[in-house]
Amino acid sequence: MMVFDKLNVIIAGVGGQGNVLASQLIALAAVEAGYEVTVGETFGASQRGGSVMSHVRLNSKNSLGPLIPKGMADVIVGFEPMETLRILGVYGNPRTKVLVNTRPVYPIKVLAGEQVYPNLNTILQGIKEHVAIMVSINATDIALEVGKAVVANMVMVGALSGTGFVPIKQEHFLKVIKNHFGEKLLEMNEKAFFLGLNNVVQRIK
Amino acid sequence: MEITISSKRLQQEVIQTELCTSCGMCIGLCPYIKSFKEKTAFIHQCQVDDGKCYNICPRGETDWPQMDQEIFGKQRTDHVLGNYNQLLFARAKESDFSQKGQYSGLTSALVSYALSIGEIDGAVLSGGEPGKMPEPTLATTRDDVLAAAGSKYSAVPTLLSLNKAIEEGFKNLGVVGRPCQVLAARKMQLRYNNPSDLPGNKIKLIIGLFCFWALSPEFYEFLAEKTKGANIASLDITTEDLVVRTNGEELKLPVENIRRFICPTCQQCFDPTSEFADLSIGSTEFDPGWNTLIIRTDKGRELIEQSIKDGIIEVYTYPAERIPLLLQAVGNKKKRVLEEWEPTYLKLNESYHRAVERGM
Amino acid sequence: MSIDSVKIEQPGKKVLLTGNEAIARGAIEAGMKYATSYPGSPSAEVLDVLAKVGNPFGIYAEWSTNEKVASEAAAAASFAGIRSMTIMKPDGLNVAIDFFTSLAYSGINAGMVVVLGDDPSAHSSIKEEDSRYLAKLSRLPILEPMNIQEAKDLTIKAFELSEFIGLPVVLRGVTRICHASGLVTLGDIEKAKAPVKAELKEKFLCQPLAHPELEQKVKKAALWAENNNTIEYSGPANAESIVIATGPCALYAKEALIELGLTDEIGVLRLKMSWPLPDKTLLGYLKGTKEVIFAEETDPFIEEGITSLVAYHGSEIGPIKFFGKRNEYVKGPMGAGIGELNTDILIDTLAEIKGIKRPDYSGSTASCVEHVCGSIPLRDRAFCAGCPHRASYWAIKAALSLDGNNGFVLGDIGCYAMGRGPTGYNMLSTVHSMGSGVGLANGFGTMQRFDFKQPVIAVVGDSTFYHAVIPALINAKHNSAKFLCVILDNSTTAMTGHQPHSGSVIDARGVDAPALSIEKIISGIEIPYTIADPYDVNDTIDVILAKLPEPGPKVLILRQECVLLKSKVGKNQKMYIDQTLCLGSKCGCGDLCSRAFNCPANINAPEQGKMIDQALCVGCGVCATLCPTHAIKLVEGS
Repeated sequence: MMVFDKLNVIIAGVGGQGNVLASQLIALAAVEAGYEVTVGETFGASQRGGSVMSHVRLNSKNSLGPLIPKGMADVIVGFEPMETLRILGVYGNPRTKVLVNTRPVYPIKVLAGEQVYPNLNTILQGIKEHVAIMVSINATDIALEVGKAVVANMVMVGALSGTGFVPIKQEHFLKVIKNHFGEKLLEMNEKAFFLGLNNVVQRIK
Repeated sequence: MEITISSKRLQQEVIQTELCTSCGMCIGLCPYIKSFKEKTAFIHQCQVDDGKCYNICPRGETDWPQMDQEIFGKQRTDHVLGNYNQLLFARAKESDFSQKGQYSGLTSALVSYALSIGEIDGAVLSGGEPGKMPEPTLATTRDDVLAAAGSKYSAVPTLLSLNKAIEEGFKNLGVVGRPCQVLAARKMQLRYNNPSDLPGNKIKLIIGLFCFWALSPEFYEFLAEKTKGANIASLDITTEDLVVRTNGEELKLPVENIRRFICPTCQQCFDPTSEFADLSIGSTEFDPGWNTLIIRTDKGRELIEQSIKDGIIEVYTYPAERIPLLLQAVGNKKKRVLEEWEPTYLKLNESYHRAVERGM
Repeated sequence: MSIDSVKIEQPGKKVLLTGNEAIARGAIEAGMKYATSYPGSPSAEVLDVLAKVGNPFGIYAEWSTNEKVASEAAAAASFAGIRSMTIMKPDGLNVAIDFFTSLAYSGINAGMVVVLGDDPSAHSSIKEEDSRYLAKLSRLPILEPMNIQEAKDLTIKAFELSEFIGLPVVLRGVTRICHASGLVTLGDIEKAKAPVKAELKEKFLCQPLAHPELEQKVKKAALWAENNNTIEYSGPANAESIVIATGPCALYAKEALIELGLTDEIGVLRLKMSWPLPDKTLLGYLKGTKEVIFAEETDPFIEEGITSLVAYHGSEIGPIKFFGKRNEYVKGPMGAGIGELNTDILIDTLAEIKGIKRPDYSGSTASCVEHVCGSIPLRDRAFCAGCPHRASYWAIKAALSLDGNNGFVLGDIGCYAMGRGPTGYNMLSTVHSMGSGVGLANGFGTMQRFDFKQPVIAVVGDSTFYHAVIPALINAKHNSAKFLCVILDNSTTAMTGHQPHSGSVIDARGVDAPALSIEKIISGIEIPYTIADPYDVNDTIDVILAKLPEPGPKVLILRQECVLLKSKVGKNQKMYIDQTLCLGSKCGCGDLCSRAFNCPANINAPEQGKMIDQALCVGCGVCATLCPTHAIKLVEGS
């Protein structure tokens, strides 16, 4: 596994997708892996359909601010295609690695017919052209197979583990997932994690 | 720039100008249009061009000669009463109808008959107790019809129950309504009768009432005040008086007292006798035991012939000496509307204008 | 990051905590025993945590009815000799300020810390307010942590300072502290388990004669600041240029200097205490400095303090060029003093001041959006799928349209403030502070003599009802103000994360508590009320129409639980669209469910057409009652 001096990870999506929890678990797993970690995020009104973004910064020293400067994201974990593109334009660079959930969440103005959601393939192709590597996954559909759309966040965490984009071992992820979820929810979330992980590992082999 | 979005047109040309007749046709057709206290309101803006709501509105642009052509296949020669086949006195033979109904109870008897022979499977009527604000009603039995009998003098959005009945699966509906409602129902029937389209092809029979004006809901508050809340058994408005019968008492008020409750749109109504109905029915202003009946279409004629044959109603030649009085009353109203208001919704041809110049 | 980490009893262990958790941990380590709060972003979780983990430490924690009561209760604990804490958002301090300006005069006994969660950029607030001015007005010294470790450490220091001077002390977090996470080295909490005894032994009277003593306490606080390393400098010795920063802005400044390669040239002077200032120490650093750049959020608070200090001592320390908000060198994305700062902004600011170019990391990726699709639709905040507020606003909108008398709606803050936006059909005519819609309705409702005829509706949440609405309703009753107060009762304080309130059956600690019935309170004021289910849209419309013309104040309680709570317990049923009935875009009404009703679960997918998004739908069924063709149906047995 590569050793990183500093790694900036952005988890981006839409309020209500469970991306705040995902970012917390990624951060906790990074701590397990021995990194100093800072997380910056906004929640509060986040469950109400707005764009939500967490910055997880892995470092050897604990002196970083909670926010990643423009163009300095090393990894973007996008829970929604259009949001991924939006964040990429601000924080990405040609070396950025992207994991993206392909399931769109339509903004209210799109539903109202006032604006148009860009073609999905155009978005995905466009992201691919502007980054070092892009891995896509329909995490929401996989989650619905497991039983609940909200576990798409664990599918994404599993997929992130599968990509190897972050210097965190699978066992670190599993440990924090186990610590976080009560008995009742653990099985479903672990299952979602592995579905995400296997889906990605098979494809990028 | 001309507005093409129907809901905007309806708002600008009809609702904001107080031309809405509260016929009820657009209500229930679309979830954005609702009515409250007989006022029609838009609760959300829609984006549809050439939408039904404007196209079926009786105060939407209406080409009168074209309506004649589409319904009767010819232009009218009588500019006062419109196209018709026969003008008669008529009455229901069963006393149930004459006791409960207005005058002879002809309308109730015909609707009940049409239901009984399966000509229609439901009838859209104004129901409710006398003296209270009427309610849109869907009648499917003779008892339903009797319960709704009696004239209503206010602008009830009856046609909203037409939309509801179509939604519920009724296929052959009768409509009894004021002239504005007849116009709306006829527009719907003519313009939206494609089997794959909506509801015009479900309208089978249109009976129109004579109507010179309708009253706004405030009339009922006035009435409750005058009768001190007593139960009202019947209500009649003649050319001179408002006659209210409560339990054992009769209250008579000069008709001037209620003029202020007349809906503003009625002043621009060009159609006091329901010219586009299959049958038009009114009072005789002469003999309370009889109604005036105008048979206009073949469908109307067949129903009348059959009901006479089955002993439901009887008819009598319209007294020749009464005809000028009827023509005068109706003609004056139409003339007044054209001269005083020049309604923008009305599209008439040259022959009308000449008729007006001649004094109708 | 997890509540369990807050109570770990291993001094020296490093755990990942949020700023709010770190503040709670600091309070526990400091032996704080009495905590009160009214929930407000971004600091709401501090009390959540204390309530959940406080029991073994003998901590009492309550969600108070409002911030004024919360502050008074916490002050009482201090009077009785127990360390206390009260936590609020800036709007909360506005509510409590009358008490704090008086409390300054009486002073306190045991340490009392006021946690203020400011929200620069108003990420989850109705406005951005720099609460330091009000803190200063109340003579409350202000400590500002830079990172998560310090959020804990300065909390402990705040208690020491509070007892040293006999005044409450403010710990000011901002969103990037409260909601950020970082590693924290834990301290000892064993001692905190020792029992404490409460007893009132002194008098605490606010009186004008106490003013001189109060000013002495402020001087003492400044002295404390001199002696307790509240100023930290990093950078080259004798730097000619320094950044003076508070809170996380210090981190932004440091990172900006690294990115610009200016660490050998510019130093960073950080103030842990932003008021009162340690004049002597500060002057020591300022002497010989040629340029000062201020980095703080959001108002020029230390900027005013320090420039004023320099004005008094100009002859001793020589001329200094200042770069701050006053001359608009330091500015947020929308201008000086507006919005939060970050590393990017300070990179740009310092690059401009030094006349150098900022490095470009983005390369061609910066323009990816334009390349790919020109522009991207914005994502507005919206009511959640199935939110009862959406249904309530639909009913209110319909009722006011039908009523046809130009009625309007007065709102306030909370989830339902989104009634001013598209998913609330832009219904709100006013939005101000908690309960102010009802206060304004009092005004409109008594203007009949001025020919005022429009129907008036004021909407409030259930938590807001207890917080600030009751006096306004009493006023309305006494003065016969004509309006309809609609209480959008979703059984929780939804906006800030579902905290219980005075109407809940449990308290902050999860203990059974008497739930105050809204309707009983209203009955007591003798205002007529009706209860309706907002999901039953048609019934709600009828009730509103019937109530509007009635004289005097009226109350309508629209009761339906917040869907986020409901979906947590998995009660939801499933909906689907019968494609044989759906008219799609040909719907005579033009896409009612997605376009007009605007629920995010009613989607209009580019290829599949109208669909229920099963990932979002909670099965409230409102769209099914609105659909003109009854195409939206309940999945049987779901």
